[in-house]
Amino acid sequence: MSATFADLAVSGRLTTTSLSLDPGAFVALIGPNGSGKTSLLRAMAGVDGTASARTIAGNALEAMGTAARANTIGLLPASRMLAWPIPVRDLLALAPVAPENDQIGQLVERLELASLLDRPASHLSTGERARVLLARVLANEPDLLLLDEPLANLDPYWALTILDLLAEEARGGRMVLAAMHDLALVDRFQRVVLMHEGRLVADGPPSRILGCEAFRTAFRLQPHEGGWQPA
Amino acid sequence: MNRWWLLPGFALLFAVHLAVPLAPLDALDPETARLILVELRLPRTLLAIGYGLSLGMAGAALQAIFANPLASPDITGAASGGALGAVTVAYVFGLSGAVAMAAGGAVGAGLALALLFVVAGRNAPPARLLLGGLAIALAAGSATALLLALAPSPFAFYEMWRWLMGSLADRSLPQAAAALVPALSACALLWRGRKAYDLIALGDDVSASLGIDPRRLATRAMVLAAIATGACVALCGAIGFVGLVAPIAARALVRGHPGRAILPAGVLGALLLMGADLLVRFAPAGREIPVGVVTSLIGTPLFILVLLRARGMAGGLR
Repeated sequence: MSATFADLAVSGRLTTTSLSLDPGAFVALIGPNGSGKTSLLRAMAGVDGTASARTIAGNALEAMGTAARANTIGLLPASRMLAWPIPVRDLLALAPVAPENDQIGQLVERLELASLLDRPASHLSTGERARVLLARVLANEPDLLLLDEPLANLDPYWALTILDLLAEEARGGRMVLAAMHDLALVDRFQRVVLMHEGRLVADGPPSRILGCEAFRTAFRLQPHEGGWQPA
Repeated sequence: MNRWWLLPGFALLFAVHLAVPLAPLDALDPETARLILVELRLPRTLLAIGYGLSLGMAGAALQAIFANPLASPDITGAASGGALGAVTVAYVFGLSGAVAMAAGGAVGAGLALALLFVVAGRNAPPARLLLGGLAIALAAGSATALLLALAPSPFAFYEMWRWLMGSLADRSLPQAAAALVPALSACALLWRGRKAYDLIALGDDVSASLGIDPRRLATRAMVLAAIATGACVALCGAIGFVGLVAPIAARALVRGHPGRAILPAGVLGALLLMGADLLVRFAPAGREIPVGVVTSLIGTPLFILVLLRARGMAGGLR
């Protein structure tokens, strides 16, 4: 189970980019604001832009029906806004085909959502909503998780817990690509993809990407006393 | 409350609407009674159900795609646009062509919705939707008034004015069919797409990743809502508030799901309109009150109540 994306492009935001993910890939997507992280995720999910191929686990995304897509790609957008006061219990099962109760039950336990189940999801705090929306994506057990800032608005306990959960998902054979803002947590990933000005500029293990020439240029940082300072 | 309670309520109101007032029916011979029931009362009952269903379902679909509980046939200007379209057709072809007027109503309502979507698209702030809809409704209303002012005879003016106020009385079965066949077909298609309207609640990006193009769904919803509303407005005039209140109440019955609310919103709309049309029959002898006046008189305080309860609560209207 792998994924191949060829010639992804979004006019004005993403220059032609190709990317492959191996089974069990656990990849952080980094880059400064406006570098095209969200555009890349949306282009991969078929939301925006063009591509010559979007192949996941041997199947072309364009040829899939709604139910198959839900089990293939799990997109978590950066926006946590919800328009309607649907109870958390219902929201977790909101998919083309409702996921199995066991699967939802495990996520509810792991992400401690039991006390939220009967509350309208739109009225939760941003951090609570982030957990609920992530659980909804995971409940469908998609082959490829495309997560836009999955740890934004989470306190350290939940950021670390969810990072562990995502690493487990990857060990189980799923592919995880997560746009990350907090560079301190990036070394926990197996692979890092760096974006700058709408193109993919570096790709490799964290030890090689963090601090490399392209990294310093993209983020406009320079090493300073074991940390970083603006270049 | 369970939404399934709507069904016995519906059956009861249907029977009452058809049978009240009982007075002339029991005194007449069976053949005349049958004629009164089938030729006079049935079209009115069917129109009340069909128009209420159309308003409720069109309102629910519009609220789902605008992601806004205020989007309804009246507030989006669709009803006013439908009235303008129908009056334009009537002006050119005369009041007799029910099918042509229904088509004119659908086109007018569609143009109004398309214009509003350009001004205030999906997820626009409520104020923008309200102001855009208000402007479109006022413009369409003025254009309608202009056509009426230039009407060939004062009699025609009065006829059209009365019809615009919204009344279900004195329509024949063929006229009712001209409005209801397209309107209910559009409703059936809205209902068939209910799952997509639920999934779009997850946001545009998530629904697009599932292969549901939000723009295409919005266009489809607006075309179907325009047909459902416009065809009915063309025959019975604009009837306010049903398309706004019914979906809001229906969502409360289905735990907030915008798609699942589509059919209950239609049934609630039919109940509201049948109920309002029953009240109209208690008018003083010799006078006729348009049913649209009653729905607006009942709907306005209800709407204000909803607004007051929602005040200070983010998204409380939803």
